[in-house]
Amino acid sequence: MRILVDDSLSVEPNSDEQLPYDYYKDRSSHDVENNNVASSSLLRPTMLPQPPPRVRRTGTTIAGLIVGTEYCILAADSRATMGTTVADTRAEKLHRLTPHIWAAGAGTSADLQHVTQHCCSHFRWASGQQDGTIGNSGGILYHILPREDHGKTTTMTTTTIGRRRRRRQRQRQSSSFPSMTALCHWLREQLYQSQGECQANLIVGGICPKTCQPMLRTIHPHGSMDHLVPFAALGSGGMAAMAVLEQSFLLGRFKDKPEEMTLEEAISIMIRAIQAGIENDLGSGSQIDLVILRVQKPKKKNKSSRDHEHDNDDDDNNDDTTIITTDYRRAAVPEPELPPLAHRTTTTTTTTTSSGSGSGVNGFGNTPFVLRPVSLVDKNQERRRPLPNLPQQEQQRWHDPEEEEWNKLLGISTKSTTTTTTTTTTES
Amino acid sequence: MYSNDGDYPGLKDGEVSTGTTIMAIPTKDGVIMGADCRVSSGIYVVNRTSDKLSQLSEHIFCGRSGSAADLQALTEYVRFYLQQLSVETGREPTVKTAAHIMRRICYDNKERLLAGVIVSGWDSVDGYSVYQIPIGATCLKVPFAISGSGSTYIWGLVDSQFRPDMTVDEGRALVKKSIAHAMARDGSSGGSIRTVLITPTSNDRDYTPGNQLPFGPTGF
Repeated sequence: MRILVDDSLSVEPNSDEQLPYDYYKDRSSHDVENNNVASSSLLRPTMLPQPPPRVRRTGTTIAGLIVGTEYCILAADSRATMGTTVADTRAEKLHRLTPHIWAAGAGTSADLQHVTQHCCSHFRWASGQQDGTIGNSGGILYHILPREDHGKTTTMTTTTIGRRRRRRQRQRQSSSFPSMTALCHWLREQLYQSQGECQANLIVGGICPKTCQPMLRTIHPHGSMDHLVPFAALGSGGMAAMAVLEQSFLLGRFKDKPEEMTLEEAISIMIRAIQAGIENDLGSGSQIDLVILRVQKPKKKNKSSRDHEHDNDDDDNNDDTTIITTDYRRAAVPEPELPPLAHRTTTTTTTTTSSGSGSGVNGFGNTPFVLRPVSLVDKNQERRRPLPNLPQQEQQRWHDPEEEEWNKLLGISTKSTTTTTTTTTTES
Repeated sequence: MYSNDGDYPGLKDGEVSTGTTIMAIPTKDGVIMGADCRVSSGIYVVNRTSDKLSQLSEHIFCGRSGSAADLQALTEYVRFYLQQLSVETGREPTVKTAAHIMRRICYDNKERLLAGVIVSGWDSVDGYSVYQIPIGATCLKVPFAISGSGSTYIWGLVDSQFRPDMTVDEGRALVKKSIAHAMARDGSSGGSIRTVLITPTSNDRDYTPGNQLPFGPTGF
């Protein structure tokens, strides 16, 4: 009996087997690809070529606006996508850097959350606010008043620590929050060092504690900043939002009188901008979140009244204080709900052609043409095609009068049974 | 939205560029620097009101063109070094020093940066001077300078109209006219025009909105 050995199979040699030299000649331990299938299963799954992992992004619509010298408004949608799947319908894209400077973020969720959280923690530590929670001294006490309808409101007054030492404390308090310049510089430096790998587009807006004015900045993933913008929109739906902002902010009735914009009008502009992004961009959706930051400067008084310090310091209408308010409205516009299926109307129409109803296919409605199966085609139309040359059908063949004349001209007798003469000129 | 196809070949994907028009013209009583206001990322204008004339020192300004992030970082480094230098030496830095610090940083990071800069201003040693540092980090002292992607369209105009001793008004008018012509033909430049007049005593900024350009569409 002959044993057939298939030499094409490369058998893994045993360790104690003496192999000929030319077995090792052109093999090396670095040749991963030359191994047979059995040993390539030893490769880790990560070493095999794989598609890049789907990152959870906030393909989003974010917008920011400054109203006069009093308000700064940031708005965002709340959809986080992972490829074509919606990973989170209630994502929070408005991140708090300090109680009065917020950042709206677009890009990769992880990068945004990490960068903003890192920034917030760094400046809490660097400006001494962390001490209040650990030790005895320092720290800023600010009232957090829960609101019934919206989120939390943080009201910072400068009179929370002490009454007599109000002026000195005011300077200390307002300077212990980081300025907008410091925050933006820190963020830009982090992003520049990652050379664009950290995909974070930020709109940083709020009340700068040093100047007590609303400010708006946009920061891009490579670390560049735009600081002279009165309004901004970023994200995949940012172009749609920018169209709404440009049209209503600059070309509308506020073109020559920007100071006439009220808070309600500004909020409606922002909501419409985010709505435009939600409607026209697949990466944006769900609800709209808002944060409104407001600074109220003290009313100007003549000098003589400054010496009389009032004792009711907790009053919000105190003349000497600058009040900065943060109003975070989560779900300012909730996600619209679809009506149940039974209430949706369906269109069913039928055409009244002679051939029967031509109803739509897959809900597309009616087609202007009608498709009919071949078996229903009129028999008269079959003259176009040559019939097979079968004996019983030859008698039923329709005689083309032109064909007989042509055949007479050409000298071909019509009595022949070949089918080559049946090609008529009418066949096109 | 953020793809860079037709822009500078060295820009990374999604990077914001100030592909621009910047220029500096010395006149009898001051140096006038001008720039457009457009910051673009691919075909989308990210910011149409930007300020590309950064102040490095009291009387030294620089005009930026190239990658926005690189240039903002660069100007901050140079500003820092100039401040340190002025503290150590006890006097204002010269324009030559500022230009060469900028050149040094650009040259040492040549592979990683995409930056073309014009440094100009006044100092008590040389008076008014203009230095140009194109991509590649040469440092050239020039009688006048134009730079950026839009500058290629106005070389002839500026060459023919520039005179060494112009008045401030003539210089400003030349700067605005040249930048307006560049903005009309270059896609990466546009918006409005910002100028600054640098003198020993003051820096006088000026802003020309987009519907009042000396040349170009003014229908809106």
